[in-house]
Amino acid sequence: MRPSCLGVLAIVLLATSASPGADKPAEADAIAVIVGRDSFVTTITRDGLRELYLRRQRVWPNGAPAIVVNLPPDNPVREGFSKLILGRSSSDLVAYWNGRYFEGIRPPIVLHSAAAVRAYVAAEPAAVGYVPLSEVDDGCRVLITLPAAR
Amino acid sequence: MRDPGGDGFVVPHTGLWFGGDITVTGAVPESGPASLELEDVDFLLRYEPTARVAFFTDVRLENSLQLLEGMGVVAGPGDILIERLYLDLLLTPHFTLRAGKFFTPFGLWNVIHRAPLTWTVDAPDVVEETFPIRTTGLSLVYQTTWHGWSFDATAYGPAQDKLALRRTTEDGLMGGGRTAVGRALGPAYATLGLNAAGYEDQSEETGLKQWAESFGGDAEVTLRGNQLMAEFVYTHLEKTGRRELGFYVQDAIPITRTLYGVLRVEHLELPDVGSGNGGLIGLFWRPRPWLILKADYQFGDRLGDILEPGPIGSFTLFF
Repeated sequence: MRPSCLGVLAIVLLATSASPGADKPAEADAIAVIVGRDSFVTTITRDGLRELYLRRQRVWPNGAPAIVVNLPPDNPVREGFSKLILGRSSSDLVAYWNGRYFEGIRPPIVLHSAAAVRAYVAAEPAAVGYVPLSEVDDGCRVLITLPAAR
Repeated sequence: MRDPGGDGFVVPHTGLWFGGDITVTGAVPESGPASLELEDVDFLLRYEPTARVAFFTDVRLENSLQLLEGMGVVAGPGDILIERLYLDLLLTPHFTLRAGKFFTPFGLWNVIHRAPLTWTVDAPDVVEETFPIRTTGLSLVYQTTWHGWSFDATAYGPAQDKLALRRTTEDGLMGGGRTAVGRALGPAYATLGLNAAGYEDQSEETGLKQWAESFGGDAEVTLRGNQLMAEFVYTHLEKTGRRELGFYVQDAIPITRTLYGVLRVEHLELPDVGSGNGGLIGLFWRPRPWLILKADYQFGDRLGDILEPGPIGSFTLFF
């Protein structure tokens, strides 16, 4: 059975409060794209990640909603991910998301720490996120590793 | 509750999202009285009962209240316009079938037509005068990314606008398509688009209906928060042999994280009213997520009410 949104949020809040400040990435840390250990998502490409994180693709091939999770805009890991995968910085995407707002398409969910991202994807099988490689734990599976953010 | 992912509100566990805005515009045109107008009240609603199905509507109230120099408060008819009303069916992760009334996917600007989130108060005249703004019918959208290249292709038609609650000249058959490609080029990201549409055009002055074809190209480059965009449109009307064309180039330059400067030049050739050039220098400021302030000075060779020079400003409140 899929967990409810409130359940996922509760797990995320607990995880976040239990590890304050635990997600400060080392400068040269690689980025791991992760899903939950029991997720049905087994592979993903960089091209696929771009489609998902721009919300151009909003369902998985099996029909489940594709839930993508971001770190906050001021997080250096997000900036590195954005440049590597989306080809643009967060500030270059302002006009893009303004346009999507007028179709009712919202940007990815923002969680404020790597611990919260880990907890979310561990509880939600349709979710994908990214964290510094050093922050990966047993609750999640790494799909791709990206080079360190510059 | 407030949408944690962006603007607007979500109703938990229902798939329902809604948002909207109120925009007030003030203008001091060189040719007419100054005005302060409740430009529009916009309500957006998206409902996703399942992951593959989405219903979207955009309803606007416009022409409701105006304060005119020398005339005082003028209450308008308060037109309610169903700006958009469509159903999206995600056939596969890459194909979407859209049915209903939507902005004609022609160029960059038209799909966010007059939205408060565009950089300037008014749209460039070329995107309001040279092709139908809305389409009612079917549209098939394909989106994918391949080796870092993003591809978009859209086909639409046969279209007939019957959903407006007021008179519209967009009421003939229509068909067309758009294709676009995007890629990161070093630190910049660039997109190029091509557009084509065929439709029944009806003259607002004479009521004459004739087949028309519009072709267009557009480009956009983003770099360090800077957004450079340009569009070109060429329209040919078959019966009268008339040709219309125009283009604009616009740059939005970040000054701070929330303040942008905007520069625009445009050129328009409309046989009925003549040829002219225009431009704009403006500011776009979003000090809070729910507030946008814009101030533009427009200059141009006035062609009737097109390319009207003078200062214009607006503020928008989101809810």
